[in-house]
Amino acid sequence: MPILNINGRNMSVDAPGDTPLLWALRDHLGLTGTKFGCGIAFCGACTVHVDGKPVRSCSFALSGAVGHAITTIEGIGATPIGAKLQAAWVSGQVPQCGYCQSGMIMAAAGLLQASPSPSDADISQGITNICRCGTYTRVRAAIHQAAKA
Amino acid sequence: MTTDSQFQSGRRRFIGGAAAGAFLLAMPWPRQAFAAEAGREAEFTTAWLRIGADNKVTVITPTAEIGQGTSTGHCQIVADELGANWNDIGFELAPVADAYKNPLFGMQVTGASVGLWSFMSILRNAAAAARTNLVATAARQWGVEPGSCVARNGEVVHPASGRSVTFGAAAADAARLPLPQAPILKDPKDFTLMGRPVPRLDIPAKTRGEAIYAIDFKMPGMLYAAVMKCPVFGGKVVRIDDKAARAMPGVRAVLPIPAGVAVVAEHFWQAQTALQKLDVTWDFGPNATLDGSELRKTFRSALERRGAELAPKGDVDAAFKGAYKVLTATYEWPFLAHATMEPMTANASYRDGKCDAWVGTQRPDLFRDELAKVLGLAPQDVTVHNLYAGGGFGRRQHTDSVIQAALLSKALQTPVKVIWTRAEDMQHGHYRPAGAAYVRGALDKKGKLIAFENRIATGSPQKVQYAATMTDGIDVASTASAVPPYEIPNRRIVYNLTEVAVPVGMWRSVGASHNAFVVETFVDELAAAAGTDPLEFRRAMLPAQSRERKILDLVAAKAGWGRPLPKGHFHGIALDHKPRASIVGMVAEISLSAKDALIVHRLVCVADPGQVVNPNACMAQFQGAIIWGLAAALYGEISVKGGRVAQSNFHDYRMVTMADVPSIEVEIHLSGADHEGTGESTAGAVAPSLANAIFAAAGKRLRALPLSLSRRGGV
Repeated sequence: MPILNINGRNMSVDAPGDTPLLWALRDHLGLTGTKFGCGIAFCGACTVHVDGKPVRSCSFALSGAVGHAITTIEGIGATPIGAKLQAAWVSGQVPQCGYCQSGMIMAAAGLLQASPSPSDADISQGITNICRCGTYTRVRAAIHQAAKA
Repeated sequence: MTTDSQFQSGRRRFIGGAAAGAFLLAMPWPRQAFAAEAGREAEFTTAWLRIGADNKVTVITPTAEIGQGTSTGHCQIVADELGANWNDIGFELAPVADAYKNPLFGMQVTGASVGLWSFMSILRNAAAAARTNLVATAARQWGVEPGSCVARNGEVVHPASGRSVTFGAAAADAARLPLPQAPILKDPKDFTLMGRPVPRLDIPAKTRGEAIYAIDFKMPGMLYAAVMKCPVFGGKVVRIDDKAARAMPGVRAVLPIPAGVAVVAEHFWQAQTALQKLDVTWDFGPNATLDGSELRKTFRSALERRGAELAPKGDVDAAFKGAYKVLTATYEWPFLAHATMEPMTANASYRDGKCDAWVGTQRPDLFRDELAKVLGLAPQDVTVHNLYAGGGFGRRQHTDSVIQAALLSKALQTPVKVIWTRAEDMQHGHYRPAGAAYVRGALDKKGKLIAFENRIATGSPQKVQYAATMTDGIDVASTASAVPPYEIPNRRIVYNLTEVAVPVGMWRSVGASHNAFVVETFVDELAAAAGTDPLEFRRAMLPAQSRERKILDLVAAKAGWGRPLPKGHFHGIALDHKPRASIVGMVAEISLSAKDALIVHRLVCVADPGQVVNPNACMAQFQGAIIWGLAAALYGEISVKGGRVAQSNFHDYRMVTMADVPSIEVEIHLSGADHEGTGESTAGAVAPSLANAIFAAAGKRLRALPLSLSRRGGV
């Protein structure tokens, strides 16, 4: 049975190795903060971190995650960047329906790790997640705010 | 006076308490949690609010929480009128009951941008009645006049003696008094929450991945279903070879659903993988050869029909006869999918002749009634539990996925969750209707618009979903914004209800998404024909004191209309007033690349919703609806080929992403008029402001959506 290290804890997953990490997290481990949006790694709703790097978990096999540190929206608040982003998300009143926002925050955390003071162009290039409610302007502002915090 | 930072810190304390194991007020299904905890029963309960012995006030919000934030707005109304402490406020989404029918429509529906203000009076009266009884209870205990007491900050206070009692302590006795039918309402000047940018109650959970949507809901024994409907509209299953699918791990059943088939498994990924192993023989039915060119012809030829006339004025034919100049044009627009980020998802549990459904729905009453019908149950044996929805936009007024879940649960006698793949969601939608419009304008010698005709041929979501509410064959949603917001002495607006085989439905902003494009782009054409500046041409048709003229002037000033722009940049302007939504003025600033690609630099907007309950939440709606309109204007197109939708995911049904988003500058102008909606209002003005800017830049009129200088749009 594959063992995954998720948010600092080892968890065994009773699923075949070719199961997408997304469904292992959601259906097998009950970590439903990571969302299903498109299934083709296009929209980013399923973004998690593998060894600190953003990965679209709908198209990432469970077997590839074994032996690596996985961070999900449930755990990102324990990191300094994650905590700053979540605070900026609340003070900037970013989410609307909220469904894409776990992925947005995970993508933003990946961006800030790689680029601690991103420019507008960095954000445009680095955040390719889809939001249907139209929160982009506030996402951008919240990333800047978190970078300054 | 309470400050915004106090709101925030207070809210954090409350959520902290909830997380520590008190109870989860801010979650949408705490009714069970509430009842399950001994001693936590509410002391004071009405349809609209509950007050616990611990002072917690639960507001029952009658609309869905699909991202628009009305749940917080309703809480502001109740808390303000009640005199509650904001830190004690939480909400629950209403169950199905007559009390929660929208007073405008007589049904439980979230739509048409009316969810906040249409319940204002009901919620204020409900809160005022509760306050009256709390005050009466305290006054009686103290032997003083109720009029000498006040309710504030979650307490009843007798200022003369300094005595006070918490709502929680007074609630049980207050509940024994009859509710006053006409309680005295507060003077609005005493409100401390309404009109203020109170942080939304649902947002903290949504930043931590803790908000529960239908796709997240779980219960013991639940199985997961992946579904596939006939790809061609109106087709059906002939034969299913499911041998290979049944042999796949975890698969429990392969079952028919209306016009399709479902694979039910222990986990969703197993179900989806096995679904692809099915060999289905379809009968594609009568629409197997339907395609876009045929649909386009249907709409174009429908323009010549007599149609139904709305809001006629003057003598149009005489005005055209006497015109100095006549302009005509034909416009077209495609079908559009909602593409909610959470694809259609539903949970159902059928047991012992009763069915429970956990969904995110904009029509809980319809869901209950349709489930009862299809399951052969009485409506009271069906319970609909509303959860947070990952976007709605009108799509969650449709019962297709919940019916699938309920039928599967009944067949298997176990709870079932249905999740649609993105392709299933995109190809089995209820689309913003495609259509066409023929417009005609008459100018007099001085370049004044003396007559206007707008003939529309498009589908009717109202007829499909709300037939009983239609009068004179006119779909009020499809014709939204079809009447120009100007004073034109002679006008004729004609609606040709045109039904085709592609299912249609309400879609954020509905008719305004195409009619504002047609009307405001054509008004720009008329301005050019009259040789008048587009802003001045519009201003001249608006009374000096009108709200519309004010908005036009404000947005022109904000955008710097008429002032020099950077080289290669151009402005386009548009005005829209979807009925019951805010008045919106918009100026687009664009440039064209060397290859004629459109670059949007700024979208400047001024919106007048009359009044607001939560300005920051309204601002979010204005900003969001601009993005909605931008995606439709730049990319939105569902095309039909062989009777099926050609697009299947976000790679070919393109969305606006961060890199596309221009500077969006919205100003809210509060004229003090009656409340109007904010969720849809800014969507309609985006396409015409862009089209008009493109004309200014390239001298070319784009009369089809999505806007493209390089190709012809249409169905």
